[in-house]
Amino acid sequence: MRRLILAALLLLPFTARADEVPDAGASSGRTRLVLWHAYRGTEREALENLAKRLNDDATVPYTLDPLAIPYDALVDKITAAVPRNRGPDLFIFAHDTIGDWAEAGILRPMEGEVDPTTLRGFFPETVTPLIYRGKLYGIPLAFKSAALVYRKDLLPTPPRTTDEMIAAGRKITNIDEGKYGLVYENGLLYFHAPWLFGFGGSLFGDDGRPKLDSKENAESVKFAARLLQQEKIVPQEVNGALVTALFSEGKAAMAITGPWVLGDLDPKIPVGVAPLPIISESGKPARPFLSSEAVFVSAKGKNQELAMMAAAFLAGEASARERLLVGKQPVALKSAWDGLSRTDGEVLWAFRDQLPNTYATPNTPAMKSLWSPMDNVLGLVLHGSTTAEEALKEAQGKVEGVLAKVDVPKEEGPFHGFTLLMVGLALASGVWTNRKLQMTRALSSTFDSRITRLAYVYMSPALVAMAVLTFCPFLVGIGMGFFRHTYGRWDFVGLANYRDLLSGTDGRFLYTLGMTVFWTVLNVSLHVGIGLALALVLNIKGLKLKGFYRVLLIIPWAVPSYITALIWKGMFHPDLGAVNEVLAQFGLNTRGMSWMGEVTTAFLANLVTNTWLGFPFMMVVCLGALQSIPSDLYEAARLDGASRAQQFRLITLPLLKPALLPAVLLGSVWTFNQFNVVYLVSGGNPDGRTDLLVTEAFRWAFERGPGGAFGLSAAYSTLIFLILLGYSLFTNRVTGSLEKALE
Amino acid sequence: MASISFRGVTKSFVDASRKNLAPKVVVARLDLEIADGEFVVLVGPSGCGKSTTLRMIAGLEEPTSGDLLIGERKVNAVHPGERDVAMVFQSYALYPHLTVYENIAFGLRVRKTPQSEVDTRVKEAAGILGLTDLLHRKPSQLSGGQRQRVAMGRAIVRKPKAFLFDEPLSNLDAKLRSEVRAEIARLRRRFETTTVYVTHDQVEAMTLADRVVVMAEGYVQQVGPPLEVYRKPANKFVAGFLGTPTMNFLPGTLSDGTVSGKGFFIDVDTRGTGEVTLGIRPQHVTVGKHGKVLGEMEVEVVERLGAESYALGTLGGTHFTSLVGSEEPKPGTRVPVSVQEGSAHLFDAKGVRMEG
Repeated sequence: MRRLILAALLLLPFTARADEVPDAGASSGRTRLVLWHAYRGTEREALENLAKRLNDDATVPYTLDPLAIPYDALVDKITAAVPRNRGPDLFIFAHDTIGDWAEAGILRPMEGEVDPTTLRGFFPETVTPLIYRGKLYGIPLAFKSAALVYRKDLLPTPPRTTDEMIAAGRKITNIDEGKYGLVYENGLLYFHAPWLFGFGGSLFGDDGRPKLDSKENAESVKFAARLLQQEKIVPQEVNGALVTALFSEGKAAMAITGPWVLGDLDPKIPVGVAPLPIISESGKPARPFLSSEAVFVSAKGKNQELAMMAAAFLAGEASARERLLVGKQPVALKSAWDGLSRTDGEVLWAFRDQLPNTYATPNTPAMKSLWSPMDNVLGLVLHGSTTAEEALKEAQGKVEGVLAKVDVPKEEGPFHGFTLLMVGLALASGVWTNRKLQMTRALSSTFDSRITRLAYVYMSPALVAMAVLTFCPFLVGIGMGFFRHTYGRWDFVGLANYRDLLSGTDGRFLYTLGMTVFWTVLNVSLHVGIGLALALVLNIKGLKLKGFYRVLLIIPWAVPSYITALIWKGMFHPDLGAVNEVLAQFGLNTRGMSWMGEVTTAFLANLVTNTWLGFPFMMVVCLGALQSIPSDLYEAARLDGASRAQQFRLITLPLLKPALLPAVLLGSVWTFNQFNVVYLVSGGNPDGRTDLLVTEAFRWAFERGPGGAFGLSAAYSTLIFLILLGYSLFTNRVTGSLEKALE
Repeated sequence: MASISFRGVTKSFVDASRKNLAPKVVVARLDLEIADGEFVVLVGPSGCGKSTTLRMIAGLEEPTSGDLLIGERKVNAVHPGERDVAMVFQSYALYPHLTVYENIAFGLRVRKTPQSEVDTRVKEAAGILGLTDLLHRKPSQLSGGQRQRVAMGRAIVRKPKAFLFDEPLSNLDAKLRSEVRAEIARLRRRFETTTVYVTHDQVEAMTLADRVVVMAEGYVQQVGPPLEVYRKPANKFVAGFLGTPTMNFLPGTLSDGTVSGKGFFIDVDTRGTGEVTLGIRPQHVTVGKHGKVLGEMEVEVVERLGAESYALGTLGGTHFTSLVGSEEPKPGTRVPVSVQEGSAHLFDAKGVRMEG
């Protein structure tokens, strides 16, 4: 009986599946449609106005219930919820994920359901991106692209060509004052795209396969490097926050950014928006990526006909006007723009002027595997680590490698083997647990059985929680390692993931492992060294302000690690960071020196950050252990003639060991899996060479390959687990024997 | 082996945690000569300065003023390790991570003694103390008495100029205490090393010492061989501190060879007049009329110790204890008590002994 309950508990998460979306609005006889979106501010206001108007009109056969979801979470929520019938009826998002969604059967194809004349009412640039493999999947609402945002107080007229832009930029740039002509996130493909397409480059070849190493692409990368290295009108290592900050403070005259940034700016700043300049070298206009924001209908919805009606309404004339005028949204419907004069809508019109010269982000799933390699190319070339041609060639090789991995032949029964294996693992663990229980029972047979039964009752809440929260995800994780995942399909591949990882076919497992071990050893040594030294100082008798120092030294530990990591990242900025500035005060030529460009310096930056985070724990442990050493041991040693060094070596260190060894074990595991610091400070730069096993695992799951290489990632995680398990068992044996010896 | 001399040594502490920043004098103007090979016991109630005196010899505290000599060498500021003295701590201070062998060898190893010599000496010391079978054990695996012996082993293995003992028996139970006491006496005869021994237990002081130094509140009250100090206490404090049960003190008036007070009367050899305190050890008074009657005591309790019994009560309103003779008095009765010839001690108004 107990066995059955246990097995049932373990299987619970696999079988539990609610399949009903509650139908509301039944009382009024109208069907309630749920709409997910990620709008904020005025855009959200406009959308909610529209929904209200619709819901007040009793002649409409449905009601619309808009639900705002954070932008970053929306993709995952839709990908996860819709296939399980828990998603919305319709949702609004950019077009670039429709490839994934169409493959996964999330989107209802709209081919033939939308009147061609209606479609002709939209800007064609916004319609084409919504077509995937020849089928239309959404109706466009708005378009978003970057443009040239500039400060009218610093730059009266926007440049028409890149030469003009560079000339104006050089005039304004003053590095000593931290002023720059232009600011944009030059390390990201998204913001580099205007140059790439402006130089006539492309991301895909004529055969539709990724093609990165073209001459034009190299030209564009060189141009970006020129802006940074020769013209010096752009700051180094820019991120989104820095763009907003420099521009708001008047330290940057121009920015390449999108309409989303306008809401974050002080309305008093005299902002102008203009289309991006013409590339002087090619004579072609710079072309930023275009996102077509559209309304999509869920393929799993219960009321798809009504949802189609609602989608048509949202894209229609009345809605478009509301979204344009109230929502300040560059809408896709041509006719709506009649209601907005150029003087009233200067900024919006500027984005509309950019529209003809944009490049719709490719909606093929393969695009997903290009972002990170191209960002890498930019990082390497901008840091001067390699040439544009070489970096692109290497990236091309990598992308082909990744795509070869995920282009697995599609077979039938996607979930079959996976589920079977999971059930098998769950049963095996159930049997194992039961055997353990029986052994325990045999041991405790001398006790009253009522008492043991009561003990199980008391333990059951914890057991259930452990099973649901720890054991099940753990087993699922191990199981996933035997599969390849593409768009919700799981194909059993046996140990292939492990084979490929260990043989180096996928990434540089051994390099990363070596890096991780090196990182762990170095960090833990520094943590213990600094922690112990500080503990010894704090343990000095009669030291004044001891409590104050103690609090001060524990603070790094009390601050959330990701905040500390972000602060350090800022401090390591080449031009604006405190580290270079302080080093320069000591006469070192560090101004403008990039920390993230070289493996050694990037590693050093990570190391400094993590040392800052890690020493307080060791200090606290050491201090506690030091205070528990009786002072008469030192007196006895002094009488025995031991010098200070001998006292430390022969008494302090051996007596610290029992407390320090478990702390070192813990610290090693934490450091081995230190995700925050590596991901946030160096971000694996340059070229993933400072990545640890744990950040690599994350990148395989969420940053590489279409559809998420969850299988590889799970295999990675299982390997990490096995390594740490081995290490812990080994250390435990050593400390265990040590403890026995101390008794 | 060496003598130890205190010449006007004062030790005071400034306690930073107290509001009062005036230094607290713990040992005041101590003059004491300890001869080579002598066994001296420092005895007194807690806080009397005896441990501080010992720690000054060890070098764990530095005298505030005055001179401290070991042999002919002034050692006021000499590092403890260079004084060549060994100390047995109250807590034994054994190194918990080292075996008995390594604990005993520690001082030799630190001094870079050759391994062969370390081995011989450790085994010799272990043999003397009966630790040979325990050499591989850790302190946590030993009994209290065994740990005590390891602590002593650690001291004797170095063949130091002086042994210092800081209340070494206070963590042992009563039975073990007398065993180890005998052991210390035996060792002492064997080594004839200068020894300074601190205790608050008068029995240890009486049984072990060549000379006892009675201290109170930082000052030496009396120095002398144990029996002499017992028989002729220099003042009321010493008289009351040594001896069990405690000496009886009766306030009275001296006039022309007699001391009289409330409820008692006695002839003494001392001349003079004035307010005095009469001191009589309980062993020297007996219930009943056997010789000179001192007075009548009111019996409250009778304590039977086996070999002898004592009557506890009051005499003239003051606490009084008397030996019980052949007939045991009933509690609540008044009985006469008789005093032995020549057993009276007289102390003047300041508590100083008055000689006859």
